[in-house]
Amino acid sequence: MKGNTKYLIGAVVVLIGIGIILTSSLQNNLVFFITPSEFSREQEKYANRVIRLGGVVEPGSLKFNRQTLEVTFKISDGTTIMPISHRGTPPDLFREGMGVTVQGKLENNAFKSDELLVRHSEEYRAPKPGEKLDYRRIIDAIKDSQ
Amino acid sequence: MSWFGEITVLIALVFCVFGAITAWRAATTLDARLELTARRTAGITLLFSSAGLAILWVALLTNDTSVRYVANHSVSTSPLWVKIVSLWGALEGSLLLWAWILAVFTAVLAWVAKPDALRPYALAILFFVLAFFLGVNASVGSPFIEVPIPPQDGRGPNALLQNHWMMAVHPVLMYIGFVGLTVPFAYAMAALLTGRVGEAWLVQTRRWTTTAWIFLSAAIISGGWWSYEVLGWGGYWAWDPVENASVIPWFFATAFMHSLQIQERRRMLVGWNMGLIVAAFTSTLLGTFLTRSGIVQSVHAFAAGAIGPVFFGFLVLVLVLTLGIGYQKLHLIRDEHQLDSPVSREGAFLMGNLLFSSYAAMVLIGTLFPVFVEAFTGAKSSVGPPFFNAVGVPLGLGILALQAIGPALGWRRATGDSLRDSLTIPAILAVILAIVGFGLGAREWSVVLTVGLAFFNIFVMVRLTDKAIRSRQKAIGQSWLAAIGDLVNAFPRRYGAYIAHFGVVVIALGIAFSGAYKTEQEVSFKIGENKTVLGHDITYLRLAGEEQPDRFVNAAEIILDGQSFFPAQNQYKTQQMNVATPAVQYNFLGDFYVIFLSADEKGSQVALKFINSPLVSWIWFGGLIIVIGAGLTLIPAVQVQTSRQKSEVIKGVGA
Repeated sequence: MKGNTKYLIGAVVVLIGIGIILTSSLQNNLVFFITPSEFSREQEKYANRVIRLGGVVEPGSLKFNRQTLEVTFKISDGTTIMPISHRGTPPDLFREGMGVTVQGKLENNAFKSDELLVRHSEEYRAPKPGEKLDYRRIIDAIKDSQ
Repeated sequence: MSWFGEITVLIALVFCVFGAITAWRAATTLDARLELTARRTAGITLLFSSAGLAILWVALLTNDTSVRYVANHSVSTSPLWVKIVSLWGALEGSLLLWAWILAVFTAVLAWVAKPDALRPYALAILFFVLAFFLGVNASVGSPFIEVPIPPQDGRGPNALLQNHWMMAVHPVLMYIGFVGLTVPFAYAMAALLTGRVGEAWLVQTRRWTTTAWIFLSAAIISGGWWSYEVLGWGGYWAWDPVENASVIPWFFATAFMHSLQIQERRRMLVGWNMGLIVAAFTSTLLGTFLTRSGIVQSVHAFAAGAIGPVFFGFLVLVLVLTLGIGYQKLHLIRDEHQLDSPVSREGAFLMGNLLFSSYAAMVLIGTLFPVFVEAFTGAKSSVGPPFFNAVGVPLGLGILALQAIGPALGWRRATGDSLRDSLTIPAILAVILAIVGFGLGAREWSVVLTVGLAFFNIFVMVRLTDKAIRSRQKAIGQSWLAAIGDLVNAFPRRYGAYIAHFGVVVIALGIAFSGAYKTEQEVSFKIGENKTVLGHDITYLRLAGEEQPDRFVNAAEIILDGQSFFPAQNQYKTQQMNVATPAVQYNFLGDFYVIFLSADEKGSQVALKFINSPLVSWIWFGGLIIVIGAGLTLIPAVQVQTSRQKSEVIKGVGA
């Protein structure tokens, strides 16, 4: 029995080691999904941390430079508007007035995104000029698709 | 057509339940006639199950939109092969295929299994699991529900699933692997119920387990390949929940395949082995539950479909029954031996078990953590590849190190002399080569370690094989080649394992290099423009479009290092979704991958993405080597008579 206890202790030590790596990397690599308002409310909490921002692409804000392949646009949750810059090509389905998620970090007061996620929804239709967007509903929809 | 399919599945279900009851009665009463009836029932269940599958295929091929599955997941304009594979292109059809494969396994087992006290119990358990799947096929997961007003045409299959022929292969391999694990599980339960917890059940199911494992491994690798070829991101593994669900059972099954050898040889770890196969089997159910209920996307989606709760209920039932039976028979689970020394084959297997199980637990925790965060704090979050890499890389390197040392360790206790003899030279060579790798510019610690451990693995295997050949040459004066042939014939399990381990080494190198040294760039081109991207010479010529019955293909013609390539985007008519077909310059040392991102209206300017991925194809070749090696372990050992033994026999006869 003595021998078995020794091995058990060894196994527990190994497992604790793995557990420590596991929990610390979980803490460092958990990516929160938040809205621009939540972001501005708790700036320090999310500074220097990769986050996912979800919001509606503001109509009229999308600019895509075909030559340099840079996209800039603004996302909004109805109260807070945040400018986003993304290096790359926007996905085919990317449209103004649609809910999107960007993953990245705040750098020099501009949100640099390295992942642009568009969830295709059969409900999407282009907003008419002057039409009021239902921010709440659009954001809830992308939130549930995370 | 709908009602015909429904009735066929229902009849299969009735026979299956009858089979379960009969097999159980045969097991408890030891009545041979009842057992024969149960075995025949397995055949009849398979017959009706096959008919159900055939009916769905006919409905798909004749485009019978009165069947809901066809209306939702197929379209008349699809090519023939897409219609055929649409059978497993969506959930309900997949579950029908799952049930059918399980029916095949049950019938084959009923036919070939050794007639002993375990067989009727194992059959009863297989019937029980099959009844669950047929029950799902007949109710909440029925593909045959009738559409009251059939639409003109179906909605078409998921665009992602019809873009590559691999889709015809990968899911089937996966289901065979998943279902195959049911057989050792059933025998483990039979062993518990009969109290015959010795190694007999492991020996009888070893080939079933290995076969299931081979299919599971091939499925995971081919899934990675599909993702690489179709998703257009230059990667092969994204740690998304569906992928994770497939890899958790694989880790448990791998741990089981190694640790069952300890029970075979040393009659140890009786309870642990049972635990591992239960974990492997239930994690196939858990994986299906996680990916099909939508719970990983959102805890609120749980109630959305009926299939999630049903799978969850079955999972809980299986766990409760298993633990209940295990608890009742706890007094039987006793090991005959104890570990003599941690420095032994058993010790290495145990440590490996710990790492494999930790890997499975890590994947499970990473997959489920966002669900718990949301349940407790309401915050939405996700756990991405950085987490899985941070934990998975050290664990994987640990497994690679253990895999190198393990074969050099003897059973019970390895002596210092034999260890030094087998390991010293390989270790020195591996360290030298790792330093050479560092000198050549490998600065990622994980890559340097992988290179060192890869060579360590190879040299240890070469050294051990060399020692075995030498001792044969000394003893019976065989030639080098004949000695190898005889060794492989005599120990197919040992050398099969070496080959499979070599495959793991090749995959590890592929993962390390393609992960650490992948480079990518998005570049814009005007028509006729020539640029050098990542060391390749590229000219964009024109936009080429083609309309096919089911899709528009939009391709950019480019000249890449003097050859024409056509990276394309496919726009499926039934779905608002584009799927890329990347153009890939395949090379043994690395692939160069071109993705067509977008173009302006006239095609005068296109955006292309280029990815350089070194050694990525080694992952697929490594997978193939693993399958070959594991396949070799299925071949029975042949004791080859050596020529001298033969001549001695002849002499003996003559005298």
